[in-house]
Amino acid sequence: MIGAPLLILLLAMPAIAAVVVAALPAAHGAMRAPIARAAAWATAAWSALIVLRFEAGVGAPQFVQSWGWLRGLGPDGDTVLTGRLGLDGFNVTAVALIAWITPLVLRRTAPDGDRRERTFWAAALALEFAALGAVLSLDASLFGAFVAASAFPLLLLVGIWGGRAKLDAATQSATHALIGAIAFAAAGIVGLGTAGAGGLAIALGVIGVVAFAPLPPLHRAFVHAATQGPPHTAVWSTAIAPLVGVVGFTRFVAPSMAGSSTIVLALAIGAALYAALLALRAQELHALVAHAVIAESALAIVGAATGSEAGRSGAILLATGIGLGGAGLALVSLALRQRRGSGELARFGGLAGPMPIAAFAFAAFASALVALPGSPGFAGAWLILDAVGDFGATWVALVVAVQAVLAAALVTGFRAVMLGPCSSRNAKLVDLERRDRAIVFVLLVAIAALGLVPRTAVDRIAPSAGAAPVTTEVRR
Amino acid sequence: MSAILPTPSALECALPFAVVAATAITTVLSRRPRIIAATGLLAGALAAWALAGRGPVVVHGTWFVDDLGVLSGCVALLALAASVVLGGCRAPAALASLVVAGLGAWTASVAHDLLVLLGGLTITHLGLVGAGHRADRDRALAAGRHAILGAALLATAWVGAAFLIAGTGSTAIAADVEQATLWGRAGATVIALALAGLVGAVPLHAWLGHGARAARPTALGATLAVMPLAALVPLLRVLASPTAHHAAPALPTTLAAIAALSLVFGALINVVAVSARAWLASACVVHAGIALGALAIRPVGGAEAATFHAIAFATAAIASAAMLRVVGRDPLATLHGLGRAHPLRATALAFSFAAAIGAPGTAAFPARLAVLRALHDGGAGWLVAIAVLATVVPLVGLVVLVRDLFLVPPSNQWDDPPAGACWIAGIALALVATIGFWPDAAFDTVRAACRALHATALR
Repeated sequence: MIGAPLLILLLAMPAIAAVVVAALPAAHGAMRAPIARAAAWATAAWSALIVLRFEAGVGAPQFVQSWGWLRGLGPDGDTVLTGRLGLDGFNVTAVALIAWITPLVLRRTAPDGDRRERTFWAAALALEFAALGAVLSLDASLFGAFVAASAFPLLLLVGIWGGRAKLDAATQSATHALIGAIAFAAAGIVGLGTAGAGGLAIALGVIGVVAFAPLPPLHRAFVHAATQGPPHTAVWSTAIAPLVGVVGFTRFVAPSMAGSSTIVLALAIGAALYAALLALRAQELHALVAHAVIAESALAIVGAATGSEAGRSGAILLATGIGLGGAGLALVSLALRQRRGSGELARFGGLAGPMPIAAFAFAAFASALVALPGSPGFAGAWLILDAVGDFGATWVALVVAVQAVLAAALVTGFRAVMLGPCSSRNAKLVDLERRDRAIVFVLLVAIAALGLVPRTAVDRIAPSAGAAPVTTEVRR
Repeated sequence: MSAILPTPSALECALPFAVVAATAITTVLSRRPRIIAATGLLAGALAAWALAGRGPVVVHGTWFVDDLGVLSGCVALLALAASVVLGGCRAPAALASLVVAGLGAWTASVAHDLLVLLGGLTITHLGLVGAGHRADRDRALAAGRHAILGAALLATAWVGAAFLIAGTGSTAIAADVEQATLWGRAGATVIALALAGLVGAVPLHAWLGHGARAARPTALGATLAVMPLAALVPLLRVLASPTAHHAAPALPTTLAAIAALSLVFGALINVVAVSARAWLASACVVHAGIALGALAIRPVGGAEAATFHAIAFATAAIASAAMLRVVGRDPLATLHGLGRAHPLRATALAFSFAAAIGAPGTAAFPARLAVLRALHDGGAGWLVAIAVLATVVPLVGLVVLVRDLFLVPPSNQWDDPPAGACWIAGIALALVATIGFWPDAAFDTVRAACRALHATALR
C-alpha cells in the first residue's frame, strides 16, 4: 500500500460517482441513489483507513501526491507551479469530518423521488469532492481550484431545492465561492504559502477566506445559503465551508503574514464580535446557527493569525468543533423547521416537553459550537486564548467577550425554542425520527471522543502547526 | 528539432500563402464554397505547420518565418477553417472573404517588414469586414462602423510606420537603432498603440463590439479570435525589438495604463452585456488588457504568457461562437431555461463562456495565472490586483448566466443544432478543457516559439 495514491483514490470516489450518477440513463434512474450513497460511504470508509494510517507526531505532510502543473514561471522561467495533495495535522480531522458527515447528511436530506434527483446526487458528490480536495491541497492555487469546483454544485443545490429566495441565495453562494477561488488561485501564483510572500499575496488570501469561509462583511451569502438553501447546503454552510476556510487560512495565509498579524487579528476579532451580536439579534433559527458559526470561525482565524503553534493548533481544533456542532445544530434546526413549517424563533417555545431528544441534541451541539468543556472546541479555544495572551490582556478580554456574547445568543435561542409555555400546536410536534437520532448519536459520540480526549487530535495537529510553512513552488 | 530539419526554402515559406490565396479564388468560383474554403484553410495551416521548428529564417528581407509566426498563423487559419465549418453562411463571397482574412493573418504573423505587416493586417481587416452581415439596417450600420473604426486604426498604424521608417531609415520591424530620433520614437509609439487597439484594448476597442454585432454566425468566432491574435504577434515583435526599447522608453508604462483601463472597462461591460455577442466582445477586451499588461511590464517572459493567453482565448472564442450557432440565439434573455430542456447544450454553452472569461478548468485560466505571475515578477502588483478583479467580475456574470440557464423555466422551443457546429464546438471545448487541465504541452510550445524569437531573431 506504501506509495499507493491513497488521496487520489479518496477524491476519485465521489468524483467518479458524480459523473456516473449524472450520466446514468433515465431507464436506470433507480440506481442513482444507491450508487451515490454507496460512493459516499465508501469514501467515508476509505478516509477512516487513511486517518488510521496517519502517523502522529510527524509535522510533514504524509501520503503526498505531487505533480507539476504549470512550468516555466518565475523571473528565470525555471519555477514550476505544483499540484500537491497531502495529509497533515491541518487537515486530518477535516478529511474525516467531511467524509463522514456527507453520507450521514445524505441519509437525511436526499430528495427521494424528485424529478431532478440526478442533479441532486451529482451536485452533492461534487461538493464532497471539492471540499475534500480543498482541504487536502498543499498549494494555494490548487486549493482555489477545488473551491471553484464547489461553486456550481452549490448554485444548483440551493437554486433548485432552496426556499423562497433561492435564486438570490444560489447566485450569492456560487459567486462568493468563485471570488474566494480566484483570490486564492491568484494568491498562490504570487507566492502565498511561502515565507517571503508579499502584501499582495496575503491580501488576496485574506479576501479568499473572507469570501469563502465566509466572514463579515461578505457573510450574507453564507447566511442566505443556510436559511434559504436546502438541508444539504444548510449543513454544508454551517459545518464544512467554515472548516475548509479555516484550514485554508491556517495553512496558506497565516504562515506568510508575520508582519501584519496584528491587523488581521483585529479584523478577525471585530468580525467575530459583529457576527456574535448578529446571532444575539437573530429572529430565525438557521440565521442564529449561521451567525454563531461565523463568529466561531472568525475566532479560529484569530488563533491562526497569532502565528504560534498553539494558536494554529487551536484554530484547527476549534474548526473541528464548529464542524461537528454546526452540522448537528443545522440538522436539529432543520427538523424543527420542517415540523413547525417555519424557522422563526417566535413560533417556537416549550418544545423540551414534546421533543426532549431534540432539546438535548440542541443543547449539546450548541455547547460544542461555543466550545464548552467536553467538546473539541474547548481545547481549541483554550489554545487560542493562550496564543492570544502573547499579544496582551486586551486581546484575551475581547476573545472572551465574543464567546460570552455567543453563549448568550445560543442560550437565548435555546430558551426561545425549547423553554417557556408550549402552544397547542407546538405540543403536537413529533420528536426526532430514528434516522435523525442515529445521526445525532454519531455526531455526539465524535464530539465526546474528541472533547474528552483532545490529546488524540492535538498530537496529530501540533507537529504540523509548529512546522515551517509549506512552499508552493519548486525549482527545476 | 531545428538541428535535424533543414532550413525551409523560399518556396516552402511561400506555400501556405499560395495555398490560402488559391483557396480564396477557388471559393468564389466553386459551387461548394464551404468545403473548398474549409479544406483550403486547413491545407494552408498544414503547410504552415510544416515550417515549425525549422526557422527562424528571413526570406527576401520580407518574411520572417519563426515558430511564433508559424504558431500564430496556424491558429488563425485553423480558427477560420473552424468558423467556415460552423455553417450559417453559403455566400461564396463571404466565405472567400474569410479565407482572405486568413491570408492577411498569415502574412502579418510572419512579416519581417513593416509594410508587409501592415498590409497583412489591412487584408485581415478587409476580409473580416467582408464576411460581415448586412441583412438589416442595424447590422449594416455595425458593419460600416466596424470597417471605419478598424480602417482608422490601420491608417494610424500606417502613419506610424511612415514615421518609424523616416526615423530609422529601415522598413524592418526589428530595425536596430542606436539613438532615438523624434520620428522613430513617435513612430514606434503610434504603431504600438494602433496594434493595441487592434488587439482590442480600450479606448481603441470600439471596432470589436461593432464587428461582433455585424458578424454572421460563421464569422463571429473569426472576428473575435483572428484579429486580436494577428495584431498581438506583431505587437510582440515591435515591443521586443531594439527599436521600441531605444526609441520609446515610456511605451511600457503607457501600455500598462491601457491594459489597466481595458481590464476595468471590459469587466464592467461584461456585467451589463445583454447579448452573447456583447459578452464575448467584452471578454475580448479583458483578454486584450491581460495580454497587453504582460507585454508591457515584462516583454520577454510576459510575451510567452500573453501569446498563450491569446491562443487560449482564440480557442474559447471559436468554441463560444460554435455554441451560439448550436443554440441559435443571441440575446442572453432568450437562453433562459436552456439547461432544463437541453442540459448538455447548456453545459457546453456555459463552459464555452467560462473559457472566454478565463474561469478555472479552462485553457485561459493557466494562461491567466502565467500572466499574473509575469506581472508579479515584473513588479506590477497593482496590475495583478486589477487583473484579479477583472477575472472575478465576469465570473459573477457567468454565475447569473448559469443560474438563468439551469434554474429558470424554459420559455422557448429549441431547434435542432447544425451538425458542423456541434462538431466544432465539441472539438474546441475538448481542446479548452485539455489545455485547462494539462497546460504544459501547449505552454511549452508557446514558450519555445517565443524563446526562439528572443534568442535569435532580433539580436
